[in-house]
Amino acid sequence: MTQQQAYRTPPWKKQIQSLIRVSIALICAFVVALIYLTYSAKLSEVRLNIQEAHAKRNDLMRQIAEYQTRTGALTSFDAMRRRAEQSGYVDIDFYDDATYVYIPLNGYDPHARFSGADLFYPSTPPASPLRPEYTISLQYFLRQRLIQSPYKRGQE
Amino acid sequence: MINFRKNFLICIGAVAAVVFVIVFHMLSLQTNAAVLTLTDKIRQETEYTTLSVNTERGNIYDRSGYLLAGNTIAYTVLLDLNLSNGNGEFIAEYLAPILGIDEETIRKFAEIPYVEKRAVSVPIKNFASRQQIDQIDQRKAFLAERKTTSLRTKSEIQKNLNAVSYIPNVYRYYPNGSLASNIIGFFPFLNPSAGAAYGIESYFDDILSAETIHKKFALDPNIPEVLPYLPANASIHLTIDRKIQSIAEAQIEAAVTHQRAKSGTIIIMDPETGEIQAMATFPRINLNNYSESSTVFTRDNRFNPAVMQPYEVGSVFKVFTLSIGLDSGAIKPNDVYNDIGTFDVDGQTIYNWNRIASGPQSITGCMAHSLNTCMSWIATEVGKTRFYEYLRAFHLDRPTGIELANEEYYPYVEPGDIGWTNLSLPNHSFGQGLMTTPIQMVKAIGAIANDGVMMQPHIVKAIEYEDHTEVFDPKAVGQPISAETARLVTEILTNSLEGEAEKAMVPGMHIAGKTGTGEIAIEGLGYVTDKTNASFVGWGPSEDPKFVAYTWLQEPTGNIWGSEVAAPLFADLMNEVMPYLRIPYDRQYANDFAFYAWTQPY
Repeated sequence: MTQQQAYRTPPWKKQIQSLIRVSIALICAFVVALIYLTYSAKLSEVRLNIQEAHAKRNDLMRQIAEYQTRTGALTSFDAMRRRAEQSGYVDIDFYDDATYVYIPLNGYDPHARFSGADLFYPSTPPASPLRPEYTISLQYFLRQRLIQSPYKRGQE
Repeated sequence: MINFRKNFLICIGAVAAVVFVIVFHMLSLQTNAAVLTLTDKIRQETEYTTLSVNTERGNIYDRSGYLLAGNTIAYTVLLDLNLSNGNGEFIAEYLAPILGIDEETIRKFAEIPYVEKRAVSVPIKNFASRQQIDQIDQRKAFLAERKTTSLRTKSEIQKNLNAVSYIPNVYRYYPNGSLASNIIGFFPFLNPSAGAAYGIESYFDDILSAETIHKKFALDPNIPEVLPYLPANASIHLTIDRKIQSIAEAQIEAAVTHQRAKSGTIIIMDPETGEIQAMATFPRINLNNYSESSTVFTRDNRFNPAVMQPYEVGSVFKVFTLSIGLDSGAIKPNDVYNDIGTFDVDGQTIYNWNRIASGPQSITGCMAHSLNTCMSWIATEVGKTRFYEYLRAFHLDRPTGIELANEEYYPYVEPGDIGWTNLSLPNHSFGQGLMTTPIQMVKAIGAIANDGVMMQPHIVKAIEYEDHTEVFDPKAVGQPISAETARLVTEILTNSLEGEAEKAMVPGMHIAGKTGTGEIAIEGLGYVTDKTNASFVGWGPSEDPKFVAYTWLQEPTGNIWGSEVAAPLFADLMNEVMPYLRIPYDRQYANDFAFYAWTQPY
């Protein structure tokens, strides 16, 4: 003969216990889902911001490069020269006595020469080591020696 | 009871078997390579998107910080074929006047049939300007706000407007056009895969180059992504001064045009630091139209002859022979050479350039008359072994190592090499039979101008990285001759210049220099007399040299002599450049210059 329990949990109590268990499980699941979704949303927002920042940074980098180059174009040599000329500036002229004042230095000799090396002086008149026949043109040689008559050469 | 227990065990066994199979299958799926590849592929295509992130190319500046090479934005205008099909008429009507393209062309583009994943969009204009893009936006805004009578028409217009889009592109831009183009080189922005060509652009391509980073971004918003690290590209600051560069370029252009030369080159260097202050060549190209380079430059007329084109410099080389003779002790400054007009070697005769005998000559006279015979005698006195040792000490046997791409050099023959004969030594002594580039000459002559200390020529002053700046300090690379010899050579060449090339003299400053007219050897003909390379090298002030300047005209046809074309070019150049080099100017000497020149005893 099997032994039986004297009292049993009433059915309504069992149902309530079951409901509480299910509710706790649901609440836990809900809390987990809530936390998950909250952070997911935050992550999504942050990620979107990062992507926007990314695009913005690329755009800014391009703009900075563009502005640097525009500045470069505005200050390019030709542009600056043109603007300087339009503004009345002229090139430096060191020969312009009206603009520059030169102060002579006492004891300075502008004609002082270097003593370590010889000065250059033209030497004896240059002489060719070659006979004239080798230095004159064939045309001249023929005219002198063959075409012109001995009488005429004699006159010269 | 037994049946129940048996059935229960069967059920447990079945469940365990199913669980085992599932676990086994899961494990096999997670370790099988083919499955993993397929899974990864699916994930890549469905869960990630790839974005390309570009950094722009580094800038190039002159020594004062003026921009020489930068980046700018241009736009590519696209048509979305899915939206444009059937609406070509409307799109063409409002885009044509803005983009300057005829309506028919745009209409054809718009009606290219849309094919999913294959023909989605079509670019209708590259390099559209910001102004054009602004006009498109304004036009779109105007059309979108236009009051229409029917909702359908309104949505049609919106659809047509959305068919037009644009994407920005960064591309290389050179604000100064052709200024210093031979130094900068170019980056072919229309065909970037071809890579940078010549000059700084090519030499420093690895640190200047724009990097494209392909970054995979997860589509799942729960997977947080960080921005990829974008290294900022280095900017390069050059040693050249754009004012001096522009003067040099104007001078060389005028000289090449006037003398109808093939090309021309000028280099100005500070011998104390090795900094290149100007390196001008002509012809040049506008770097924004870099495709011209294929037609302007040839094998005989390089992009930057200063570093890329070795040639026989002729008598300019005598500066080295003189230096070697004096430094080695083979000759003394007060020696006298009796020039009989010829110098015989192994039965072969060497003549002077003018085939004239000048009689007894001091060393100064030898240089003033530019005597080939005297140089041959000096080289013979020095001896072949020591002569070539000195040439090596002057680094004439190697490229200079300047920071410019495609530098070339031409190795000369030495005793023991095939092709070297006893005639080679005297020939080399006056600059025939060996070839050097202008930058090699400037580097070596810089040693004479800098008390014998040879500095490394450099054209980069600093490189500005993202986190630090690398400054290029002056660097001594050798001392081929003593300081005494260097000063003596400078004095001799200062005095001799008056006799050799008065046209090279600069009012207000003592200059040391030497002209050179190198004949050009043509295959099958040998040396021809009507084609020459006319050169001049000068440095000053002779008392304490602050610059070395080299001028070279390739094959001038107006006048072929270095003393007649390259020397006056040097004088004109230095007259104009001197104020910008901040070199003291002797006005008293300048005032007396003309009178002084006329009262010389010759």
